[in-house]
Amino acid sequence: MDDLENIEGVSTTHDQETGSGLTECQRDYINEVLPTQDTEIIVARIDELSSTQPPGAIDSNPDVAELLGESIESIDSKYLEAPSDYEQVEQISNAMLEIDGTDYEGWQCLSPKQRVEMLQKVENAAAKIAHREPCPIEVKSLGEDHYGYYSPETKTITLNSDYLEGDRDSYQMTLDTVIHEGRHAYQDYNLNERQVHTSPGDLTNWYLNHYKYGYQDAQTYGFCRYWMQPVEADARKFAEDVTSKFFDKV
Amino acid sequence: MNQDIIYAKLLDKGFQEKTASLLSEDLSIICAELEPCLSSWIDSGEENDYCANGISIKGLMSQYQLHYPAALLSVDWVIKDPNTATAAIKRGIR
Repeated sequence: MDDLENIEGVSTTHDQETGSGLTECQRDYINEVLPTQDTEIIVARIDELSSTQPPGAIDSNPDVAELLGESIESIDSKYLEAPSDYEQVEQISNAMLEIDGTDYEGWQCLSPKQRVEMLQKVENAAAKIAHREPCPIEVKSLGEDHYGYYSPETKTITLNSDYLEGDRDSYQMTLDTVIHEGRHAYQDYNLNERQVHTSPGDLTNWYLNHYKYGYQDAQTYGFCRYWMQPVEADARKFAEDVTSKFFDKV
Repeated sequence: MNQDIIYAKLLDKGFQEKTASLLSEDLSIICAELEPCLSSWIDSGEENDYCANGISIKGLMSQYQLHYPAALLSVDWVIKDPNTATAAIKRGIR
């Protein structure tokens, strides 16, 4: 951990949780804006006191959470701590069951356009559960065995249109890809906008992967380094957990 | 093969220092079956093919647009850990 403290930018919600709590002055500073009930003003003020970059979830500090009290329910969830991965897997797989066309029989009845609309609903549900903004889903032909990608620049998910008309394998891979790319969006949100993820170890691994060692694409580094890097291993595991749970239930 | 020679060749081919450093480290311990391919590429830039477990250097270059050193390392992974590597490559890029 000593080594990590010397890496510029590494700071996690764990730092906040083990901090010494709010001073009286800081409490007053937050209390002053709570009556406004204006989320942006309240969040901005709490962020001013945050020791992390990007700022942590506003309720990651127990003292702040206590101050917010019941008003926390009116605050957009993208500012709040996300459920644990275990809970996210459960909730996303359940939410998928509620969306028409996520089962293979339903999928077969949908046109390619309707399939994209269904996949967008899956992404919207997954984003809401993970406390991040949903990504618009775009489609284009990417060639064989390229299932899709997430763009941190445009905050969009692109899916390979060739697999929207395929067989059962294509259907399963496409669902898996939506969850996988959504997880990359979640990693990006945590690294660059707000740390809502509750595992400091994951955040450190993602940070080191992107900013110390750099993302290792298969085209340059080969499949082994691409496959083994933390952000890919995490997205792969998360998508596999969600889709396995979903296919067990559907 | 000597890591410094590989590193110099990668720089010569336009790879950035950090990338060349990682790739040369991996390529310096490539398996014996692929050493002739690596040597030819270092000596003359020739991109020879090799196939293991149904996965070839040229196939990876054309299907996934892998650079030659990346394709060499991917086939090296197939030789060293065929089950994991083959499954990973078949899952494609996302």
